[in-house]
Amino acid sequence: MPGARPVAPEGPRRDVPLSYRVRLRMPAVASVCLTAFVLLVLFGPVLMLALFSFNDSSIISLPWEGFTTHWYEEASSDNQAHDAVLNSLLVASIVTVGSLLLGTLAAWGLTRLRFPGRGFVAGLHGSVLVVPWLIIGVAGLIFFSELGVTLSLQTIGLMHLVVTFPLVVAIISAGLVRFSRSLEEAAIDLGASQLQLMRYVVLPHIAPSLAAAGIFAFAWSFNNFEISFFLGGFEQTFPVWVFSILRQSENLPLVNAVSTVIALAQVVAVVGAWRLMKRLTRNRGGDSALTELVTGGVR
Amino acid sequence: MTWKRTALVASLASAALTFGACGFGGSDGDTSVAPAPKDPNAAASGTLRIFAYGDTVPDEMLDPFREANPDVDLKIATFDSNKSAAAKLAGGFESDVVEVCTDEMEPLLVRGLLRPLDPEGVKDFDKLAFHDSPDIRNEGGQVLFAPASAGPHGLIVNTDEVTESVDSYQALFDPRYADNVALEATPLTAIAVTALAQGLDDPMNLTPEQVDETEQYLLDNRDQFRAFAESDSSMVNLFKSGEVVLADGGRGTTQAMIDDGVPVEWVAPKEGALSWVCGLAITSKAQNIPAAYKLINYYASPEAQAISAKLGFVAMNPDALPLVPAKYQQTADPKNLAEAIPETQPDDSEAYDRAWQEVLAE
Repeated sequence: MPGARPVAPEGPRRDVPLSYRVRLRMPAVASVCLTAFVLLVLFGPVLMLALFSFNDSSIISLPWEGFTTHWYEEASSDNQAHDAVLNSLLVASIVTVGSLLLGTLAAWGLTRLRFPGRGFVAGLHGSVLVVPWLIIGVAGLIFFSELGVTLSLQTIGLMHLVVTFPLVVAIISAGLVRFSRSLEEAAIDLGASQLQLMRYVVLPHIAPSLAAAGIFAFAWSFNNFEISFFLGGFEQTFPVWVFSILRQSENLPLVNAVSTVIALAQVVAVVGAWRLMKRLTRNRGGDSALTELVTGGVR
Repeated sequence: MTWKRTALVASLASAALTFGACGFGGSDGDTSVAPAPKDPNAAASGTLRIFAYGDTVPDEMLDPFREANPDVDLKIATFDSNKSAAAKLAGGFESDVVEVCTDEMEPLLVRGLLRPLDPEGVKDFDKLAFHDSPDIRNEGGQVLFAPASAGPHGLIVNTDEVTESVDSYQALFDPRYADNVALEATPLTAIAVTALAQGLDDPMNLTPEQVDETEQYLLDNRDQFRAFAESDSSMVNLFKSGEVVLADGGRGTTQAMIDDGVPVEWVAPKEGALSWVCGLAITSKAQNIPAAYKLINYYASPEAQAISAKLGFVAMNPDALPLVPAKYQQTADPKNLAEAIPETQPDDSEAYDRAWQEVLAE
């Protein structure tokens, strides 16, 4: 039949024609090649930069000049780099917790309650996502200036909250919409209080959505430049520091070294989280439960 | 410096400046001459807020100032262009000292964000390169900033591949080097060097017809250029890979290539090298004027200028040269700036930007 998957004829392997064996394996080979190509395009540039962070040259270009850890030594003694990374970590952590808390509450209200103007409120939340961060940064600068508020990490954090909160609302709302309300009703019928309902029924089910929203909120806050530049006072975040020192090309390897360390920390965190989830789902269905847990968060 | 990203941010910052001019966060600062301290040797104290390019305020530059002025608490914020700095200052951000450059200070000036200096308050002012230039003054002749750094912009030549002597911007358009030439992707320098190559005298004040003529010349010779380098790193990579043998650029970029073994030299063209000039100014909302003058005096001093020379800049104070290590003497020599044409913001800078965008779009 045309288009049907070829089936190997029965018989010993040596009797199976090579063409059949090749045709059987082609889909698998093609998928591996496609995956490898996508991974190369996605991660190749990052790996190249990490590789050149060990190159004994201030120019990010071949030929390879020799292995060195000089740039990492320079990064470890650069106080401005330390301060910038710590500032970004602090702001991103607080913004993540704040946006998860507020975003979950807002998502609950939007999906579970009926009130006048619900659609308008939902639209208002989403509208922030389409406003350029540069405009938000300048608007925030003017806002705080008019109020006489000194720019600082706090003002950066507040405006980061403004842009990450709608994203969290969107992701958590999607998780709550998928969540069957009959389970909530059953829990209430069985005598659960609102707190017990949230603690034992709702939150475990939307945990993947919370995890996904948390990762996005942290990444958006940590990597944000436009808002951090305009709302920052005399404490720099990591993206602002990077942008300011890259005016001189010889600083590029230093930025590479710091960025490689940050990327490695993120990989370790993700691998650690994956292993933790695997352990937690071991007794609850193994790999299928883990897959459902992960894909449920990004669906 | 990622000029493409900087150009995008600067363009949007210009829009932000327009918004900021709509009555919000506008300057209500003091634009009279900042009074120089009566006793210049008196110790300064308090908080001093600096807003400057990142490479102007590294720790190695500021540590001696901190040691000499232990009662001054330095707060530092950085920016990537004077346009974005002006947007932030116009939006309400306050600092005591801001770094300004002759080719970008118009947005700060028109919004009354700068306070003129008293040259008497800067000890070595008369020794500084460009101290008598009208480009560091306002229309009333008042000094707006003390020049603290500069960099000549001429030609970078691969001496292995370009064996003939090169002394003119016209070499950038020599068909013998077709497809092996690069230009820095900044509107002002690209249009200016092309104008000089065509024999036009005042590249910073081209008439609209001259801008059109220069644009057309670039378009007609578009195939001459292999790339428009958007950062120092890009330019260095182009030379190192051998794709480019001739380009416009600064001494600092050339030195970076030489340090990495690329056989290049920097040439001051006969039409005149361009030169960016930057320095420190006092903002109209400055709160610690005495400490601001202390910092400006420090940056003008031979000791600070010697540090600046090691960072790749020209030593604006000639008394700094004996303090500069031999390796940096050639780059640091203020004679590099003799006959240099200061880069200033043209009256019709938008025409330069438009012309350059047309060339890039080709």
